Amino acid sequence: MKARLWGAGTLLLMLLTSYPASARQSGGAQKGPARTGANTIERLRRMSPEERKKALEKLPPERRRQAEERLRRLDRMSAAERDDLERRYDNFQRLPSARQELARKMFRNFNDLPPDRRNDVRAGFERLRRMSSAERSAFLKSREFSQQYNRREQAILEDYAELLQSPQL
Amino acid sequence: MATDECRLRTEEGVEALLEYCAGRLHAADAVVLESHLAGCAPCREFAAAQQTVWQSLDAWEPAIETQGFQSRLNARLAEDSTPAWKDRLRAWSSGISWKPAIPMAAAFALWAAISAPPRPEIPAQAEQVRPEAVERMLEDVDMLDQLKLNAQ
Repeated sequence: MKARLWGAGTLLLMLLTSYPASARQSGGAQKGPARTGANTIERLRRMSPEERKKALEKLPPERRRQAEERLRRLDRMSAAERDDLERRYDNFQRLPSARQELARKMFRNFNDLPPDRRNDVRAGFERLRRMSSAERSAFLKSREFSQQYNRREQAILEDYAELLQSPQL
Repeated sequence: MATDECRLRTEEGVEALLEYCAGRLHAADAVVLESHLAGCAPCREFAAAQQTVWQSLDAWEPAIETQGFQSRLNARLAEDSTPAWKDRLRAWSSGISWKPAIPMAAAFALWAAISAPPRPEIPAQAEQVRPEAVERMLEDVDMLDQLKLNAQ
């Protein structure tokens, strides 16, 4: 009899406690996909100067300098800018890894351009972003495109246009 | 309950053994238990030990009380009519067999381990973060910021 009482009590306790556990596992009342972007960006921002130094000290000097500069840029952002970036980071994480790699390769190629050419290519990004898919296709085949940009820049802009086809972007 | 299953494994079995040793078990049940005792050494030892206790108790004669002992005892009991909480707790818990709770507690611990919520995100600690991972995250964030890849 006592054993049955203990069993019933234990079962009741498990049932009572299982709801909050499973609710927490599924994100509780939170609706929609989890915001991994918020976690990542907040993690980066919350690192103390010592933690940042320790985290980056093993990188080669040039890469370390670039990472530090990116952290500073993150610090300077307003809450609204950060929120927008977190949302976009979430969407980016949902891209197939091949597309993510294409974006990174394109961005590295872009960063390798001389600063004045970077501004022209950035204007090209903006222009492509505002176009429809058909307009982009026509623009990339146009004389204007081939005259305004060299081969290296054209490849960057073509990759950018390709990325814009992703439904997540 | 199976005749050959050791009675010490269940509380009902232990209670039946105690009832048997106290001479309170129903005759038919006693016959079944005795046939089990013939083949189960642990139960036999348990029953023997219990029977020794009962025999000792049967043999015990209370000492003749000295004059005034009962009145002193009554006065003392009146003083201590409210037992200390520790004594009450001990008295209460002595009535509970913890044996069945052990597998329950083990099952509960297992369940708690399986269904425990994920640990909250640990704040970034330099020792736990690979520099390349930090660099990658920063690069991605910077790329999205600069190229407005999926800006609205």
